[in-house]
This record gives sequence, structure tokens and C-alpha cells, in this order.
Amino acid sequence: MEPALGRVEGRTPGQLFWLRLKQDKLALVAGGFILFLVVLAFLAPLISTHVAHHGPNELFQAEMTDEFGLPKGPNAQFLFGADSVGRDVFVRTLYGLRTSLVVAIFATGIAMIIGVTLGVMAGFFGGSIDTFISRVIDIVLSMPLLLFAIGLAAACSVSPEGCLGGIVKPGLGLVIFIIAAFSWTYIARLIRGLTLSLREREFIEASRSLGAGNIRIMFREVLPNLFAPIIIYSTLIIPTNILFEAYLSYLGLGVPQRIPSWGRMISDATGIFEVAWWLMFFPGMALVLTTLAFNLLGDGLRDALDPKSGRGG
Amino acid sequence: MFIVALLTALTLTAAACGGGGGEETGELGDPERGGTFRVEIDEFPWEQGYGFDPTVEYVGDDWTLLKTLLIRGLTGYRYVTAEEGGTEAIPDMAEGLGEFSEDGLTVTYKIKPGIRFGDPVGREITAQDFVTSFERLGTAELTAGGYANYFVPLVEGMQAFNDGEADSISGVTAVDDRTVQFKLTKPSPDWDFRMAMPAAAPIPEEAATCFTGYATYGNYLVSSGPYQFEGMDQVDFSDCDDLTPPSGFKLEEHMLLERNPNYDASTDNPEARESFPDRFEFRKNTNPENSYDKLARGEIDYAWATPPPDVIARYSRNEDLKKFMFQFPDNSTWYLTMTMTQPPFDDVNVRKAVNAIMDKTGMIQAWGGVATGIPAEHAVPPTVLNALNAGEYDPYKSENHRGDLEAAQAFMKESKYDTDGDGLCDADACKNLTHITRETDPFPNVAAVVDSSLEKIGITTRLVEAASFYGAAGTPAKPVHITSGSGWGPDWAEPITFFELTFLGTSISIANNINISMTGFTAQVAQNLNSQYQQQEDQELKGLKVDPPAAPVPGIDDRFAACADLEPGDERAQCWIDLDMFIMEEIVPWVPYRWGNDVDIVGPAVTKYEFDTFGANIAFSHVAVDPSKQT
Repeated sequence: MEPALGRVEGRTPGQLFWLRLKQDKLALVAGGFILFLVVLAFLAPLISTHVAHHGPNELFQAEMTDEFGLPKGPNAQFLFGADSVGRDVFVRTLYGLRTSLVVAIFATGIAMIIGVTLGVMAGFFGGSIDTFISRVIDIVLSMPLLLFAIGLAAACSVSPEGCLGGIVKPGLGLVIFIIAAFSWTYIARLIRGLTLSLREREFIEASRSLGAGNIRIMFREVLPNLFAPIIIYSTLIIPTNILFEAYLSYLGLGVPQRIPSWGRMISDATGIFEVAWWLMFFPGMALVLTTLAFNLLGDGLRDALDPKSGRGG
Repeated sequence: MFIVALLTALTLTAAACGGGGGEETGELGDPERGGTFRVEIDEFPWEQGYGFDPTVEYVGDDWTLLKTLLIRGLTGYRYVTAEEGGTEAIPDMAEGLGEFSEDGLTVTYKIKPGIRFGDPVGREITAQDFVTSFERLGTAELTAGGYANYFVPLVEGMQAFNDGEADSISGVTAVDDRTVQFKLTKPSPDWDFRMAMPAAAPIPEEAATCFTGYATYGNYLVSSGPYQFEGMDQVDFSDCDDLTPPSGFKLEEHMLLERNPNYDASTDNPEARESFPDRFEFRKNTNPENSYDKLARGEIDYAWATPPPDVIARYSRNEDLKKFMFQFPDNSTWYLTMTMTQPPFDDVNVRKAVNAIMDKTGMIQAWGGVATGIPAEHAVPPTVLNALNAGEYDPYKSENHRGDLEAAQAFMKESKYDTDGDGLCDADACKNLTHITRETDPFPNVAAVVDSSLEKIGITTRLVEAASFYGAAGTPAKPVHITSGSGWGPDWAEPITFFELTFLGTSISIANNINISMTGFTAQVAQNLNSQYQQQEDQELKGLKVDPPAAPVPGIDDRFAACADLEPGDERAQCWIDLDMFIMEEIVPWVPYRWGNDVDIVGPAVTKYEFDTFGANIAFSHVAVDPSKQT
């Protein structure tokens, strides 16, 4: 008697991806945590109104600072304590999450658009276009990133007019601009390399032989095949950008004080950390957990979307 | 001039953060001669661009160093508190204060015999050395950003010298070796105060010939006081092209002082200089927390940096430490400016509403608490005005200085920017106003309190924390709405220097403008500014244009001139008081919010401390240490 053969079932790439991803428990937990953070960020105004009963910039100096202007620690009403002007650290940490996510997502989005566009053009067209774009990438990459970022942030913060003829103004937009301006190159270089490899593949040749133009090939054939690396790299660059925003804010060059930011909160805590540990602890923990979650999710996505580059391989 | 004045004000007030402990100066032990007084400082004041050159140096902390330790003038101060006579000009090198002719246009000083320069000059100081210092002071290239304006228009022939039209200053004469005479263009009731300024101290010709460049003499300063730079005996001025600076002064590292071997204490006034230590060491430490830790361990004797709030709290709460902390009014006012050319602040009722609503107690709290100062109630501090003490005059009084919403709304209802009469500024001009402050502590926290107060009357702002406050706020062609980073201190203990740069329309400058509120701005001033913008070589400023005001902005120029012309006395004093009240009630360009305190903490080896109200600093000429307690 012949043994019964099991039923062979076809699986879509999406199903394969999910099968692999759900085996990575850490990535799932990280993904769930990020989802939770996103929900928290969206609900921050509601939480601050209905739980804390005050906003991120409301001052409670009389109640929450002493005669020397030193803040008071956590209590039943101020779960994470207060800062030097009596603002609720819990509410500001919550709003800081919004800032981090907004900066990271927008900066990453802009960097992705620039990087993918230029990377695909360089890789696909080759020749002088590739040379030009590659040299621009080399130049930007050779710049001392943090120094230039600090210089640019400082220069654009000097006056209310900002810089570049008023296009870039001090505040959240400036931080997003700076982060995007310096992070697109890594994406562009990666995408260029992948596009160079893709354009020699048979399906591109086939498409071209069927009369497809460059634009159509780029959009219909090349870009869909870059989807996985774009997702992976985006997820991995988000925590970097969150940290970058924190660095800039820590140095006083990020978002204005009125907009809560974890980097700025940590910076404000440095002078009085010994007597007000909560000022550094809570935003610091939030920063660590958020970046860790994005990194773990990014690793999981990479393993699931591109098993050949997995941890085991 | 204005930049320097700004720096002076900054320095006068920069040390004003603190709080807590004692308010008595005096002895902490048994002060004796000897030992080394060790100081760490977070930023050397001479690094702000004036290089410690007394001809141009306008930073208050440098004035403290120069006048208490290194140079003497014809007049000076006792370098003690106002209560102990620290605001009075007293004779220093001169045998008495200036002898004025009947018409007030000639002033004569007799120099005490036996006062000699330090190394390497060593000879007796003569009247000619004052002629030399005034010729430096009258040389335009050497005084940019300085305070030559206090002398050039006032001394006969100095303007012509300044303009290159004369080879000497006709109004400064060495009558004989010990007699120096000044001829003035108009009577100057405060001339003795002017002569107490470092730029009026004598400079030996032997050295002056070597330093014809801007801010270059500071490295080689020849002492006329009790101390000199270590290594000055090795300096040789005979070859100006081959000078080796003394080991005791390195611009970014240290200033080491030893006793001036040519100083004769019998020519000096012990009320001014006791000069206990044999040596002073000033070293840089950019981490104030670290300096205060070293101070507590006895490794240094004074940390010259704003004490962090936790340090103030520690010294305030510990009975054993309390005696090492001192706090005194530093004669400064810190204030918000409202630009009167810009809506909604072109309406005096809005400006009054802002004054009424401001939570000044909250701002002091944000600054570092009660020890760092008290809520300001009018423009000129009582310590300078000698009147209108705290609680005596406050046109915008509120309970505990927390702001009065009802009063603010009443003012706002009178304003054209409250369109529905509900006491809130509801026009578009009230929203998203540009608010400039400094990026350093405590200003962002203070700004948070300002914004919170403004919101109560419907005004919202966009805060810019500027690295260069006056760079961002002080360009009239790029007007801002409100600022919260300004502070001002007087150049001497008379209110005149509190009004000149801050409120006069004629003082408005094209950049680094101190009169940010544009008090007294007229079409004529606008024309002058535009003319200067056109001539500018600086690309940042060239071609800028300031719009003339639709109507002249109210000012005080005429009233100021009338007060300045009065002789010292009750009438003049009352004139300044009236002017202060006029500014607060009729012009309303500011919200004065803090009269500052200087907080000093000294180490356990310090046996004597005094506060110098002239420099608003510790008085180095009176301090003493016990070397056996130093670690």
C-alpha cells in the first residue's frame, strides 16, 4: 500500500511572511508594544484631560516646586513627578511620545522618498546619472553628521525667520528637515545597489521586450521588488531617528521647550538629577523601550521578509 | 557701545542665580595675611571679546578683577555693600575727589605721592600716565564696543582727537607730575563715578606704545594695584615686536596673581583693599557642578559660577553650611520687552494687561527660587534708585505677584484688539507672536511661565530660544513681538546709566539693539537706521530696512535730558523716580519681573567674605583664607 501523500498547499508571499514572523515572539511583542505606543500617542490629549486632568504645559509651581524652584517627585496626582516649572512629567512623557513618533515617522518618510527616488534612478539609469547621484551621496556621507546637524540647527534657530529664505523655521519642522537631510543617503545607497542587481534580471528584460518604458518598469517591476528592503530599513531607521531627535533636543537644538520631547526632558534633568531622579528616569526609560521595540520589530521583519539574511544564516 | 553695555549688564546679572543663606558679610574666621585664594570659573569674562584690556573692557566681572586686585584709578569704591558705603565714589590714587571749578567745567585731582606701577615698569605714577590712558580711550580703533561715549563728548578736545583732527586731547592736562586736570564741555555731576571706571586708570607710556591694536593690552596689563600677573618681571617692553606674555595670564586657561612688589599699602585705603592673600589663582572649569563639589571638599575657595538650585538648597538647609553662602541684591532688573511698533503691543492697554497678568513669582521660582531675587515692581531697582523699595510702588500690583486676571482683563477690554469686549486679546494680531528668549538656563523655564500667563489673556506665542539673544531680538529691521531674556545693571550707582541705552530713541541701533521695545522710535530715527543699513558692509545687515512708525512711538528722550542736566541732589533723584514712574504708567514698554540677587558660596577655608556692590560680585580685595584648612 502506498503511503498517503499530504496535501500540497500554495502559500502567498504574505502568508509566508506572517508564518515566519509569528514564530518570532520578541518581534511580535515589540510590534504589539509599538501599536500600544501609537494608540497612546493618539490618545495623549484624552489621557491628559481625563486621567491627569491637565495639559503638558500647565504649570503647578505652587504645588510641585519648593522654595528653591526644585521639583517634587511622583505622587498620586503627578504619577511621574513634576519638572522645574511644575509641569507634569507623566503628561509630558506621553506627549514626548507623540513628538518622537511624529519626528521619526515624518523624517523617515521624507528620507525614504528622497533615498528611494534617487537610489532607483542611479541604479536603473546608470552612467552619468549614477555617477552624479553616487558622488552626491558620497559627499553627504563624508560630512560629519552630528557636527553639521548641530551647526544647521543652531544656524536656523538664530532668528525667527529660520534659514534658507524662511523655508526652514525653528521648531519641529527644522528637526524633521535636518534628520531627513542626513539620513536619506543610507537608503539611496542601499536601493541603488539593489536596483543595479534587479535591472539585469530576466523579468525586467521580459518587460522591456514587451515594450514597457523606463517609468513603467521602475514603478511596476523594480519598486515592488524593493518593498521588503524599504520596509525593513524604514523600521530600523525609525529608532535611529528617534535617538537623533533626542540628541538634538538634548543639545538644545531640537524642538522648542513647549513641545515635550524626551531628549529635551533628559537634558533639562541633568543639572538636578541628583535631587530629581524622576526627570531623567521616566523619559529615559520611554526612549530606551521605544527604540528597543522598533529595533526588535525591524529585526523580526528582516528575518521574515528576507529569510536568507536571517540571524541564523 | 551697545554690545558692551549688554555684556556689562549680562555680567552684572549673570551671577544672580542662587538663594538661601546668610545676608551678612564679614568674618568667617580670623582673617590673616597669606595663603592662596583659589577660584574656579566656568567662563573667563575676558573671553567675551575685550581681552581684559582696561581701555575697552566692559564686562562687569572683569571690572571686579581689575579694580579690586590689579589697577587703581583717581577715584574708586570701597568694594563693599551699599549699606557699608559701596555705592559712593571715594578717592583712590587721588588725595581727594575731584575739585570742580565754579562753572563746573574744570576738574582737578592731586595724585598721592609714592604710588608706583608694578613690574616691569616700577616707576612712580604721574599725571602723564592719565594723559596716556585718555589718549587710548580717545582712539576710536581701540574702543569699539567700549564705553568711550562716557568721555569723548564730555572732555574738551577728545572728540577732535577721536576724529583724527587733533594730535592730543586739549581737555586732559598734566599740570605737574602729581596734578591732572580735565576740562569738560559741560558740567558733569557724576564725573567722579566716571573716573572710577577701569578705562580711566593710568597706563604707562612704556607699555602703551606696544599695544596699538584693539583689545591687545590685557595680556600684558601693568599693575597699579596690590597684585600683578605672575611673571610680569620677565616682560620686556623695550622691543614691542618681541614680547613674551607673562606666565600668569593665559586667555583660556588661567590667571595667576602674585603680590605687586611695588605696591605700598599706605597709599591705599584699607576700606577699599585689605589684600589678605599672597596669591590668587583663577582657573577654568566649565562644569559648575564639579566646581561646587570641589568647593565643598575644600579644594577651591570660591566657585565663580551660578550655583545650581540643588547646591543652593543644600547650603540653605544645612546649618553648618549656611554660613558659607551669601546673597545680595545685584542692582539688576530683568524684564520682558514688548515691541511697541508691532501689533498688538502698539496698544498701551495690551501692554498694561500683560503687566497685570504676569506671574512674577512663578518666574522667580523658575529662575531658582526666592534666593535668586524678588519680583520687580518697576524698571530701576530700588538699590539704584535709592527709593521706591519693594512694596512701595507697584502700578500693576497683584496678590503675591502672581498676576491679576481681573485687572488684566479690564485693561484688555480697553484695547482695540479685544473685539468682543470679553477681556481677551482675540484679534489675529494676538496669535502666534514671536517670543525670543535665551537658550541657556533658566530662560526657557522663565519663558514657559510667561507663555502660560499670556494665554490667560488670549495671547499665544511661538517661542524661539536663541543662541544669540540680542542677535535674534535686537535688529529693528527684523522686529519681534516679545522677549524675556533681557537684564540690565547700572555702570555706576546712579540711575542715569539705567535709562540711556534701554529707553532712548536715539540709542536704537541697527543690530544688538538694547532698546528692543523701540521706546522713542520716530521717523527721524528710522531714517538714520536705514541710512546705516545702507552703508553696512556686513552682509547680514546690508540692505535691510526699517519701516518708519505710523505715529511716533512714545519716548523719554526729552525727560531724560532734563534729568541728566540736573545737579546731584534731591531734585535730580526725584527726577529719576518720576521718570521711572512715567515709564511704568505712560510708556509701558517692559514688564520688569526680577530684581536680581547675587549668590556667592565660599569654601571652608575662607575666613573673610565681603560683597562688592560696584561689580555685584564677591570683593576679592577683602577676602581671606586660612591655608591650614585648605585641601
